[in-house]
Amino acid sequence: MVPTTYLALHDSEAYPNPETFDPERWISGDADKQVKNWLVFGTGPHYCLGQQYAQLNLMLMIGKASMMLDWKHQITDLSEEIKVFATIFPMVSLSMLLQNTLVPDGRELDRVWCANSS
Amino acid sequence: MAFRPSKLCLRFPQVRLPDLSSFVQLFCARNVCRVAISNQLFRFVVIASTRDMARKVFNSPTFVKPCVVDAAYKLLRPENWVFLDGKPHVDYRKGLNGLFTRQALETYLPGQEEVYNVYFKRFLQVTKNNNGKAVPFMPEFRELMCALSCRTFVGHYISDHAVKKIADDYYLITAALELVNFPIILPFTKSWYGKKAADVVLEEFAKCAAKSKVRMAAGGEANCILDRWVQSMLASEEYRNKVASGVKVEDTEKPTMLVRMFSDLEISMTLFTFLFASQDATSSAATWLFQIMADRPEFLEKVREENLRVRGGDRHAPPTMDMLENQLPYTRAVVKETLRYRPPVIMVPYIAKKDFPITDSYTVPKGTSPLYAGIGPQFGRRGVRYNENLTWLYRIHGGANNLSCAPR
Repeated sequence: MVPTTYLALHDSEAYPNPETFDPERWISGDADKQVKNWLVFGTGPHYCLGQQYAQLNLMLMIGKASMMLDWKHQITDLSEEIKVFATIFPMVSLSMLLQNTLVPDGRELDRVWCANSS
Repeated sequence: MAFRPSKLCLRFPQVRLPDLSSFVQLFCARNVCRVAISNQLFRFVVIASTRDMARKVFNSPTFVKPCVVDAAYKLLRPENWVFLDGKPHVDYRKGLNGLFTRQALETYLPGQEEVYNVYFKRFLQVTKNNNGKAVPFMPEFRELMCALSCRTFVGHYISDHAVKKIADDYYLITAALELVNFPIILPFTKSWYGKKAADVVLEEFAKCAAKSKVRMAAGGEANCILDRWVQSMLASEEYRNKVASGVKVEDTEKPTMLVRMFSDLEISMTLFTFLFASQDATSSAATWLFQIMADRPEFLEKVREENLRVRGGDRHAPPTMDMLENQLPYTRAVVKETLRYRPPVIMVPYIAKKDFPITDSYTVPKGTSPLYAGIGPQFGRRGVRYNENLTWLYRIHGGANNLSCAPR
């Protein structure tokens, strides 16, 4: 048996315009109320023990990265297509290169440029 | 953007997992029916794709339990706690809850901050070493996540060298656990390499456990999951010894959770399951997060502004739990939305322990699972079989009336 999470997380009743990446739904919208659809970490007796850890950790990662680095990525048709290797990854491998720039408060920031390798 | 099963087929012709995922994708894309049944090769696969069906499977421990490929028992060891079911599983898990409380998570933050500082510098160096040319970063994210997990789980008991080795070899473990592999571990197969990599992890973590026991017994400060767990073992043991020797112990002195003393190998096996659970999923999430932020710079700019603001403009100011939980609503929204938009885990394999009446009209037969261990190698190299399967699946849709057990 294979319960899947994708459909619940792309359910337009719970998350309007589900194919759009829209952080606002978690701020002014009611995405947080869709607890039944939130199957990212499973549910029931085997739900992910580290779900809080994982989410806070990702917040720390992207928050720190945003302050220490900057990066760009050349979008292609395959950028947001899905490739499966146990979990899902972008179809086209992400590549990066770096430059220096300034943070808003005037300090030097290392800039990481991303581009597709293909 | 729509899924493209055909693309998946071309890229992964030889493995079964994408077959399953494209089943899923087919149902996601077409929203055909709530439960799909495939009896190919005399084994049933039931895909519960809608929210309510998926929830029903997740929440029916009487009828189902998570299942893994045969190789997983060999890599994780058969006696590993993850293979427990029912009450023993619930009880074991309770003993681990204390490792993920708010208070516990706060103590792991400095170690995580340290890893990010090291790796972000390394990211810059990667580009410099490539003369400013773009290079694939997914392997870098995988290593970052592995280092981060190791630091959080076993602190500084593990060397940087060992972390690097585990990170480098971890993909062998992932590959060994694909659904297709041959059930007997033969030399130089994916399962064989995976088993070797897994043994290295178990050995390293067991050494860490031994060191932590010594340090915690000497009253050292806990700063990783292993330390906290060992501390709770020592506290439980002390309590039991007092009780056994007839010393009166106040209720307030009783540890909130009594756990037994686990062996180094047992501890190691459990920590390995944490790595197993986190490595692929967080690597996936990190990769999407970096990419999505790059593609939508207006969102990244808001994340940056918010993070600098809560740190009073000092980008080196250490994070706190309060900061992460309460002061970064936009960063939280971006993480949540990434996990929703591209959930790392799109399907979870379960096996039916007994006949499972999932709907009024359909009972999932006992033994139903997505596993094909033992028949994998027969599958063609060019995805021929795969395409046949897919066609066959379309045929099911076309002739749903013939499929007595496909409820709509």
